[in-house]
Amino acid sequence: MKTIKFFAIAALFLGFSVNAMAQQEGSATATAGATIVSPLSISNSRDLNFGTIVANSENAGTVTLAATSDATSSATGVTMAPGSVSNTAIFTITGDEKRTFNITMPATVTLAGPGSKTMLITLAKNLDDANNSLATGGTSTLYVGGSLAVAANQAAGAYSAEFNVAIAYE
Amino acid sequence: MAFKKFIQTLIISLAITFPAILSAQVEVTARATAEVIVAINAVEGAILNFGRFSPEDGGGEIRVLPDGTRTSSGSVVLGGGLYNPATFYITGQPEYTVAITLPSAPILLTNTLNGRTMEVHNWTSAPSLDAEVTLSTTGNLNLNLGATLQVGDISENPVGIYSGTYVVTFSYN
Repeated sequence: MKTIKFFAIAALFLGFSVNAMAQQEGSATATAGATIVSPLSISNSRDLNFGTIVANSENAGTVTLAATSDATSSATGVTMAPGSVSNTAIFTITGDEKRTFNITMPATVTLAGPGSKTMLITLAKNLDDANNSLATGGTSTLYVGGSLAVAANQAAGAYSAEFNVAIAYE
Repeated sequence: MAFKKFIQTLIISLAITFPAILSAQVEVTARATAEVIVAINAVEGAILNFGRFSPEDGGGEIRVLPDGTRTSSGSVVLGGGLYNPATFYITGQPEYTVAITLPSAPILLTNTLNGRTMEVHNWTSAPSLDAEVTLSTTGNLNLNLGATLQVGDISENPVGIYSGTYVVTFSYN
């Protein structure tokens, strides 16, 4: 009899635990979970796009994209093609507004293009490396832009790369 | 009693679980892109040449069309020899639209011996700039450019060679 009882409790516990994690409210047990920190999450809703650049046979150049919501690329040394479409990357971060978090992402990203040609992006962001507070409601938006180095006579073609953005509570 | 024990167990369990969430890192992958297109380039293949003529008593006009035909008006008598429109070879990103700007004001051709001038105006091109001009699928475009030369009488424009320069700009549109 004792053995049977023990198993029953164990099963119940397991079920409860999952429920508390998933919903964080509901039963009396879950009220204790109100002190629980909401898990951090990050999602990407827009990729980083520096737009269309006209190569220059004589000059190297830099394309700059400020880390704001609606920034578009501007160029020195080279020129942006008419009709070029550019935008920053957007990441939505959710979590507990009472906690601070840090951001880990590469300082530079190498874009790969045609025939093993590359271009280097130095990333920029609107938030800090560490000690970021989540805005009221527990959501913050991270914008990533940067500067793109274009070589003289940069080969024409499409260039791209992937990069990771990681966040963690402090 | 059993239930109370369970609650305690659960709270302990939560306390163990949460530090793991706190220190957990969450990560997302994004893409970065840029496109580079070929710089636009233009080379003058042939110089606009009105050829030989004689203005005679009253002068007049000599017109060279983009297709290479030459006509005259007034007392101008056309002579032999070469004449042709200007030709430009443009290269750039395939299928991109090009904005071409011809001289907006008349330009002057000058006789280097005596400083006398003739005016060139009424620039016309083939393809026409009234419609959109687009580079081919291989990124090429040939443009012919003609104009009208205004000639005075023989005293205003004595015999000699007259020359001048003008600017045509090509850019992506």
